[in-house]
Amino acid sequence: MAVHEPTPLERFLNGILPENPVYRQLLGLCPTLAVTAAMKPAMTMVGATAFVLICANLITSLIRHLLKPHLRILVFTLTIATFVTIADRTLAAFAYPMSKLLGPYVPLIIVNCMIISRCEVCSSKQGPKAALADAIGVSLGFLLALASVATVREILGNGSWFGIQLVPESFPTLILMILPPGAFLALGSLLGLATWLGQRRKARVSESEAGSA
Amino acid sequence: MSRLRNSYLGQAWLILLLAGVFGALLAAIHLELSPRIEENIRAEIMREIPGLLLGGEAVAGASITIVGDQVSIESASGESTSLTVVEQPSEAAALYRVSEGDPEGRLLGWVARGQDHGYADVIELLVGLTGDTTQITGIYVLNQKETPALGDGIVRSDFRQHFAGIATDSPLTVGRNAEEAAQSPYSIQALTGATVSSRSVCNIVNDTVALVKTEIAEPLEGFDGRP
Amino acid sequence: MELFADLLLIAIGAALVNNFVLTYFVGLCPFLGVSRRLDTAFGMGCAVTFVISVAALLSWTMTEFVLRPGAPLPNWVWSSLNPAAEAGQVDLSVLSYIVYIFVIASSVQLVEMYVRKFFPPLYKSFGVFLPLITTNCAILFACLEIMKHVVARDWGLAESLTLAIFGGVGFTIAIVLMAGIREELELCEVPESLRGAAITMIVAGILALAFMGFSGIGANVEKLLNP
Repeated sequence: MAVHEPTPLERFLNGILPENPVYRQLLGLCPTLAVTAAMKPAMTMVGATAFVLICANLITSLIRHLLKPHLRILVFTLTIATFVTIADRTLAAFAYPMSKLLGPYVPLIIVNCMIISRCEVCSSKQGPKAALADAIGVSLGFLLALASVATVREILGNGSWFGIQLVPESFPTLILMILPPGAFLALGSLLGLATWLGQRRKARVSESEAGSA
Repeated sequence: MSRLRNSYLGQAWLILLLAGVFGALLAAIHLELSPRIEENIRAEIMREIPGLLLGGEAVAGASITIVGDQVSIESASGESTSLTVVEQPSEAAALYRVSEGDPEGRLLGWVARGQDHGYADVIELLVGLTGDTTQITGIYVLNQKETPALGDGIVRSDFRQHFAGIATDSPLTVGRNAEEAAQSPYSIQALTGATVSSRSVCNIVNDTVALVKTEIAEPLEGFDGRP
Repeated sequence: MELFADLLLIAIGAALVNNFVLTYFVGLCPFLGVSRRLDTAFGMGCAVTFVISVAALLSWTMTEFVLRPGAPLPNWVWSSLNPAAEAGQVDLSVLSYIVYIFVIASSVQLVEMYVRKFFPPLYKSFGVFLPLITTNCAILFACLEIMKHVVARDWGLAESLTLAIFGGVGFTIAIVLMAGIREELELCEVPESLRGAAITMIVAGILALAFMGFSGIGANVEKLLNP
């Protein structure tokens, strides 16, 4: 019996919520915490990561029949490192202040386990269509995760969102939230909230099943 | 045939091929983008030089364009000034000689880069000095990671403007409050709750000023110290 | 003495003030994954410190001699191929990320083989963690910091190694503290939805808050060393 391979659409949808890289798989935590003090750097980070993920997924999917099993990690790493360099240089050339703000976290995309795990799980086994759908889905999931953390931190810590002042300047803000401890606290609380919502939904589903039976 | 397949080349041809392709891609990116990146890094400093030497009012609302060594400032009232910035050989992180108009113009002042430990991490500053190095014309914070809302006040202009116009014949000190700072013309009022950051900035300014003075007194080869 | 002061400041900065995990968020995967028990956490910390030192040594060598702008090796090759070329023009820094990740992967391999061959008991205690370390961002982060300073020409080998070793020590301190807290946490009644990663994050946040108390040490140690 052939193993069921997820279709491109399933891959796409799975990446967003059911297999959300940050909330469900706990991958890519380093950027989730480091660049989420405000929305702008967080979204730049998502853009750079999505670019690398899409390119790496496409390339590994195109050459998947040529891969030798024991050399595949090497090929993945080489591909990812190349595209990260391209993303880093492009940012430095066209968005220099942002590139300075993100600093080492752009090159650190290389060791973002999220990307290498997508290469391993999906694109080295399936065709370019599924790989592309998967990369976009996972990127959207990553976007959702970073946006949620950055929203909480920027609004509480700075009183603004995407640089737009929401609460009056004189209003006291919780500076702790834009400091490193705030990142841990925000992500910890959001993880708890995600689990709580998941459990509540599961409970409701099993309740309604019990009811219908 | 099977020998070829089992040899190193048979195993690694894909990686070598990919390395070649990616190498070419990176070379193209590098050739295309590195002039732009260097320009960005230079422009970051060049853009601050007029404000440092001419004062904040002179550049308020002005548009600044940078072409090569030349910085042109067109003020809001339509007056235009142009400066030439030339980096000098120096022991400091960087030392720029700034003259009015073209490189042969009158020496307007010096801008030097200095850095040292702050409260959280290294603080990097630009310090502007008059041509005869007797007065500080202004400072600008290039890099810092001080505590938000406390130490990072060193980047605000109301803190930085304390430095403008202070004579350099005695090192700067830090006063914890307005009264303490008023006792001496060389005293800078510390930011509330961030004495360490304020003191670090003063120390960097002192060290940088001293270094610029030595550089001018004992110039390195190729140093342009014309008045 | 001045070098010693510099090294001490870098060491304190890397281990405590700007702790790799709690300030820069690098090395989080093992920090969350392998901090369930004290002894394994300590093993992981040692393995990371070990690998980070080897990788820093290798990457410093590569940066200094091959990758930085104006590095001797590529310039020598280029000028012997093309005698007309101007000296010091070759810049391979675009390749640095690729080189670092391979340096890290190969130093992990090297360390694993070496330890397995010569120190079997050591291999038993932390060998299992070694392959996991390749994707530990703390190591790449250390390489990148070293690159930044080597390109700016203000760090030599001693400074680079100090950063790497004490960065590893800082990681060990953080992960051991975390494991100690989590062992106690087993006995507590944690709300169901916070169990696992969420409560670990919140504990890490409190730990980071405690580590913020170390900031400011740098400036004061400096004052102590050069009164």
